[in-house]
Amino acid sequence: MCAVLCWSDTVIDMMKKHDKSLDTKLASTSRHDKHRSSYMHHSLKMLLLIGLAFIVWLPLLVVIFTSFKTRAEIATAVPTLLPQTFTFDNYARLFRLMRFEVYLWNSLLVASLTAAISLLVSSLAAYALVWLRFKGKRIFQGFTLFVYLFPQILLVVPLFLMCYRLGLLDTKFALVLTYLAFILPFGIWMLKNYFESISRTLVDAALVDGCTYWQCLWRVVLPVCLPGLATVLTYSFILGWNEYMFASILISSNPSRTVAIGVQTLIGNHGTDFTLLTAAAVVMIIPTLIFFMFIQRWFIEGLTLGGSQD
Amino acid sequence: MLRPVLEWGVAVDSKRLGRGLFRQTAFWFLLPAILALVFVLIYPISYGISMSFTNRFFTYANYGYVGLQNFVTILHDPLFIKALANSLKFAVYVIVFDTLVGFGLALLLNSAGNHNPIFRVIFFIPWILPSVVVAFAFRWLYNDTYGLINYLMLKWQLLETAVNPLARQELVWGGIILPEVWFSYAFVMLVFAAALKSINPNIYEAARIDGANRWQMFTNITLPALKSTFIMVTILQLVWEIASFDIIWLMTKGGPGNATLTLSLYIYKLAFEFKKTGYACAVATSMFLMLVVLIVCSFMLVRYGDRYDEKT
Repeated sequence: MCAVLCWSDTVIDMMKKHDKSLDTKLASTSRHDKHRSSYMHHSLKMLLLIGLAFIVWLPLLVVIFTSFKTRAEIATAVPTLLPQTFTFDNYARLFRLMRFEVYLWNSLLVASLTAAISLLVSSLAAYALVWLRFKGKRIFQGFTLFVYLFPQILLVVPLFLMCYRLGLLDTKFALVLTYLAFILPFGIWMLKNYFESISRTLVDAALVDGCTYWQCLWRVVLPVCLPGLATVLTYSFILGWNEYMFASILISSNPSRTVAIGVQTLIGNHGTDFTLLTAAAVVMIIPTLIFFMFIQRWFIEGLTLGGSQD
Repeated sequence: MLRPVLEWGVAVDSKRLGRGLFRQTAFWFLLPAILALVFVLIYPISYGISMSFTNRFFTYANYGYVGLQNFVTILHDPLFIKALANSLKFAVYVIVFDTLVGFGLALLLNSAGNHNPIFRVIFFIPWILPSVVVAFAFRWLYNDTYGLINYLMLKWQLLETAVNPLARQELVWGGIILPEVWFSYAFVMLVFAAALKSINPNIYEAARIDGANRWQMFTNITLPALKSTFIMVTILQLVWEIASFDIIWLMTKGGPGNATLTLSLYIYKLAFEFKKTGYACAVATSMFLMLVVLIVCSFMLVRYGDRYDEKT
C-alpha cells in the first residue's frame, strides 16, 4: 500500500508540473475518433465476455439439458446440447423411485437450522469483539482467524468418534453441530469486519441515550448491517445444503440422508442412469440458485468486504 | 460532562455500569460462541491429537497408548509420502490456474463497465454449486461412450479412440484439476475484482496524462497495488487446496492405483475403509502440524515483506 501511495504522490507532483502540456494533449485527441474506437473496443470485450460465460456455463448447461432428455436419447452416439424430445419423466421418476422429497426435507432442515444458529451466535460474538472490552480479546480474534483457515478433513475422525460416543450418529443434530464448527469462525470474522465498518458515533449515541448493550445490538447495529447478516445467512445455508463429506460419514440410514448423499447414491458401480442423476442435480441446485439470486448483490459485496480486509 | 471523543462507547459506560459488569456483559455475549467453539473445534482437535498416540481400531473402546509408534510408521510409509507430494502438486496446479483465470476475469470484469454486475453473477455461479453436482457433471462430460468432450475430440480428430481421462494415469491429473479450478476460481475472481475496484482511478488518469501506455499502467500501478491481495489469496488457497477433498474423492477415489491419492483422501480411507482410526489421527496430526508451520511461516514472510517495503 505504501508503495502505491508514494507512487501516486509522485504522479500527482508530476501532473502539476506538466499542467500545461496536459491541456494541449487533451485538445489534440479528437472526440469523435476516441468515441468510435472505444465503441469497437467495448463490443469486442462484450463478445469475449459472452463467449467466456458460455464456456464457463457449459458443464452446467449440459447437466440441465441432459435432465430433460429421454434415456434412449442420451445413449445415441451423437450428443447434442439441446434435447430432441423434451421430457419431465426423469423428474417424475426421481420422486417415484427414490425418496427424494425426504432428502430435500432433511437438507432444508439441516441447512436452515445451521444458518439460524450460526447467525445468532456469530452476531453476538462479533458485537462483543467490536464494541465491548474484555480480557483476551486479541487471543479470541486470533483464534477465530486461525480456525477459519482450519481444514475440515482434520476434524472428520475426531468428530465421528465423538458423535459415536454421544450416540449422535445418523442424526441431523450431528450434522448441524459439525457445520457450526466451520461456519462460526467465518461468520464471526465476517460480521466483525462489517460491524467495524459502521460508524462508532451511531452506537455511542444509542448508548448515551440509555440503550442497553442488548438493545443497541438489536435496534441499532443489526438493522444497519443487514447486508452482512444476509451474507452470513446465505453462506451458511448454502454450505449446509451442499456439504458432502461430513454428511457421507455421519449419516448412514436412508431416511436421514441429505440431498448431497441422495445424489451420490444415484451413481452406480456398473451402470449409472445419467438422466436420473442430472435431474437430481438440477433439483439440488434450484434452492441454492433461488436463494442466491434474491440475495446475490449483498452476498457478493459482503464476501468481498470480508475477504479483502486482512 | 461527556468527553468529546467517545472511544468504543467506553467513556459513557464506565461511569454508569462500573468495570466489573463490563466483563460480565462481554462474557454473556461471547458465551454461545465460546461454548460452540470449544465443543465442536477445540475438544475434537485435542481429542484427535490424543487419539494419534493410540492404536485404536475403528470405534472399539479397547485400545492402548503406543507413544510415538504411529509417527515412526508415518516416516516409513511410502503412501504417506506419495499423498503429501500429490497434495502439494494438486495445490500448486490449482492455485496457478485459479489465479490466472480469476485474475484475468477480474481484469475483464473491471473494464466491462456497467455490464459488470451481470457478468459477475454469471461467473460467480460455479462457486455456489454443490461439489457433488460439479463432480458428477464432469464425470458425465468425460464419459467415454456418451460424453460431450470425447465426442468433440473424436469429431475434430484430436483423438483416435475415446478415452475416459479419469481411468488413465497420464490424464487423470488434468481430469481432476479442471473441475476443481472451475469450482474455485470464482472466489479468487471476486477478491481481485474488489481489490481492483479499490484502486484510485485518479492514479490511472494521472499516468495516462503523463503518457503511460496500458501495459506500463498495468505493471506499474495495478500489479503493485494488488501485491498484498495476491499474497493473501495464495495463502488462503494453499491451505484450502492442500486439504481439498470432495472433488478428488467423488471423481477418482484416489485412483487409478493411488495416482491421485492426496493427504485428505488418505486420512479418509485410513479411517473409514481400513478402520485404522488411531493411525488416521496420527496422519491428520502431522498434516495439522505442517499446515501450522506453513501458515506461520507465510504470515512471517508477509510481515517481513511489509517491513522491507516500509524501509524502501
